[in-house]
Amino acid sequence: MIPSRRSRNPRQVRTIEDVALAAPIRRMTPEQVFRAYAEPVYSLARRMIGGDLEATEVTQEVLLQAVRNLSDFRGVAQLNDWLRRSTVNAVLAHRARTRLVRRRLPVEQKTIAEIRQVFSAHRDPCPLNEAITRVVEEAVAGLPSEYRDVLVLADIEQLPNVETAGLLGLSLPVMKLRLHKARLMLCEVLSPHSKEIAS
Amino acid sequence: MTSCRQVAAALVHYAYGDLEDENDCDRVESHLSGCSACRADVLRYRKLLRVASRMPPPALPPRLIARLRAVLFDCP
Repeated sequence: MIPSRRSRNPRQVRTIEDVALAAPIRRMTPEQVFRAYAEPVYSLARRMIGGDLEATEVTQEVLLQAVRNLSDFRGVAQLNDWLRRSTVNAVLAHRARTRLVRRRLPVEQKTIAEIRQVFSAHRDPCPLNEAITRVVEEAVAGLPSEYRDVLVLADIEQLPNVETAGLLGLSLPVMKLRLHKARLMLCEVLSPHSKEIAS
Repeated sequence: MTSCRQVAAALVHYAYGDLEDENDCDRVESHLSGCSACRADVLRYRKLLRVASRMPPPALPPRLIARLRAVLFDCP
């Protein structure tokens, strides 16, 4: 059977959507905002943008705006939605600025073989779950950004397709096409590790 | 029986639960009933989705923690 896309441990804060606040938003202190959101916001930014420094800048920018505008939010759902949207927008804006300075390889030129080379060094034995997580994490980071974005939002953040398309400013058919291609690329890149992943 | 190539594109959608057309589902399932290689592919896709959907968030770098604390807690 196909696993439910929402079957997560509710106590584990893995994404922005998982955050549940103990205090009303208007009474939250910057410390509480930091504790609740720094990790999931950084996580989303880090996975989409692929770089530590850039993700740090995005996280700081987004959380600072959230703290300054806390009184405008009516509930945790609205705050979570705003944070997710702001993080995605900040990543896309950062990427657009970077592209003006440093032209990157077109998607077509970044072949599966090139991406796969990155993982040739990761065949060493180490604890299974940690190894799989690391390899998948790096495989995602190695995807071209157009494909990485949809995969991070749909398969890692577990957002519905309509929401993923909306956040990225894509039509639903285009988003689905990219997601399909991203999954194929990821499977292809990870094919040397298929035994570990399937076990 | 349909060939592996004929169901290749639909196989990923099927594995991820995104195949909406019932006829396509029937076609894929009919193929899967006689093809162990494609069944293995479906299991691999599903396992990968499970791994992706449960990956823990990357750890916050210490310098980000220090930087955020400095910026946020001085926020007017």
